[in-house]
Amino acid sequence: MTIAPSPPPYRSLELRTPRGPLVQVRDPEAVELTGPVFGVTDVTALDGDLTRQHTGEPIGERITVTGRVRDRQGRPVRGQLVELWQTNAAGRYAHRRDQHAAPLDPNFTGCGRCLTDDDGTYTFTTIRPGAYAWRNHDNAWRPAHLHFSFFGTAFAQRLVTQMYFPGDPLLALDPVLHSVTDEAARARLVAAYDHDLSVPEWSLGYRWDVVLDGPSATLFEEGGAR
Amino acid sequence: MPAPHAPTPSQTVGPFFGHALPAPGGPEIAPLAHPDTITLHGYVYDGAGDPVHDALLEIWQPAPDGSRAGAPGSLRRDPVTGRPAGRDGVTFTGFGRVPTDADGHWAIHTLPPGGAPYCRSPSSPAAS
Repeated sequence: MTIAPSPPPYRSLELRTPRGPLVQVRDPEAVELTGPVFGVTDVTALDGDLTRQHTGEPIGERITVTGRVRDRQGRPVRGQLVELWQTNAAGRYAHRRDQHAAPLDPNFTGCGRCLTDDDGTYTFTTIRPGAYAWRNHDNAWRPAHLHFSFFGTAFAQRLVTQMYFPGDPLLALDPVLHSVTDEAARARLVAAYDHDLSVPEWSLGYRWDVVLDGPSATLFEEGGAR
Repeated sequence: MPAPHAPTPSQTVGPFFGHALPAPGGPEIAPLAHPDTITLHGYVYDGAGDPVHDALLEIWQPAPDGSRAGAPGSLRRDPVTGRPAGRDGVTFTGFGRVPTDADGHWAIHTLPPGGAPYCRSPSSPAAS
């Protein structure tokens, strides 16, 4: 894909970026060794299917999104909470303050969650979200994306991010994606279409692997280029 | 050359997480009726000093005995309807989540964390 000149800046970042140094944790082990506890009592197998939360079927293109969550040493992040939220197929959130001129879908709320398995794998069944207009700049449109939240084995691995779809022409124009200034890093936010994940006459499959950072990983890299 | 295990970048939580991330009872890390429960509250401001009405805070802390083991129960769902069910009213989970309100204000109810800040304790895995 040809990348046009950088899109306009993401306005909300201006006043919401730290200006001073971050607070230093005196005992790094406190955040490196433990994190919030989630278990089968909080999360069930049904929570990962966003197409079965209402009495009817949501409108849109049914997709499976799966991938492995690993740390920077490649070790699977097991049994940790993954949360997903998104617009419906028309590009509207089931949120009162989203007044984008697109219809709500009574059969789609657009949030789900699951736990990673022993391999670090998460899986969601959902529908492909739509692009939507926003007011960052004139004629601003966000590419279709899935919001993700990951808990690691330690709170320092906490990650909130967004997944994009391959081949989307809006990727080159999106200030939020381009708030990540490194092109290779941006590419890590784009899923791959995986035909082996597609289920005949049912759904299309996307694969998106995730790597969680953390202070231990940073220490591991001390002295190396980053 | 990006390493095979280069970290996934973060992106904004966006303004529209309210239907997904907060849960009923999210700020009640400790039961309100517990005699030692304290309230901690504050405001989130942006760089211009204006309140941030769409921030989300997460709190993860040790128990009064210094344990960081935590407990499930902060994000329960009703097994019948699948809707958020809130907490059980008994368990200290060590984890809470609270969105700011229209004034940028947030409040949590919890137990004081054990020991000096970030200290190790006999019940913590860090000490073994």
